[in-house]
Amino acid sequence: MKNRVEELRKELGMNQEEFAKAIRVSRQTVSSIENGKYNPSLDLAFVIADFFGKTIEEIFIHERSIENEKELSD
Amino acid sequence: MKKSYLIESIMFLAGGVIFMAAALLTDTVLDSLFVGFASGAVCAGIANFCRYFYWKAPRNAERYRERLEAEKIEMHDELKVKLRDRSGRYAYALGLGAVSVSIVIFSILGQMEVIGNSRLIVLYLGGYLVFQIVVGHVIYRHMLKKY
Repeated sequence: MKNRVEELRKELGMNQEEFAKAIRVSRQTVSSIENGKYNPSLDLAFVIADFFGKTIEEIFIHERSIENEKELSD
Repeated sequence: MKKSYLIESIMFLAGGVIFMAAALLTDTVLDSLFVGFASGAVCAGIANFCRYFYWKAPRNAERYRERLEAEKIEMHDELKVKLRDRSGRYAYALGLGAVSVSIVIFSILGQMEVIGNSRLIVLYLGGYLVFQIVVGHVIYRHMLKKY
């Protein structure tokens, strides 16, 4: 699953440590999410989405959903 | 810092003193064991005691609050919880394997008369193996019922 966490975090001018503190997780978790190595739980995805003032779908992009949309539009 | 840490330290120190007194006032084969317990308890008590007063000092209050906050985050961090669960699962599986192999090795050593009382060791390890498997299964079923 791709995500825009890094991009949105940088837009706010925060480093990983500050962002991790703000959403109450470890810096390693933020780093793993940004690298796409770890998909957060629904709870944490909501926390992240709330933090950026966006919906989950605007931040986390499910690749299979994109493929399905492409198939439907083709 | 919580007062319970101070109480805990005092209890450790008191336990150490009791064990030391038991070791000095009695003359049994357990004396060396009591001295070991006493040393452990006294050292733990002193360490906790020092830690309590260090963190209780007003100049360390802010750092202590930050430390507690960081500990809380580390404890509930979902990635780390997940990794802890997974490492526990691997450790459990490896533990079962190690006990199974040990049973075979002790049986062979016993048959070859390299060690005495191998039957007791094998029985103990066998019991432990069964206990681990049964407890693992029971806990799993119990947790599944909640969902």
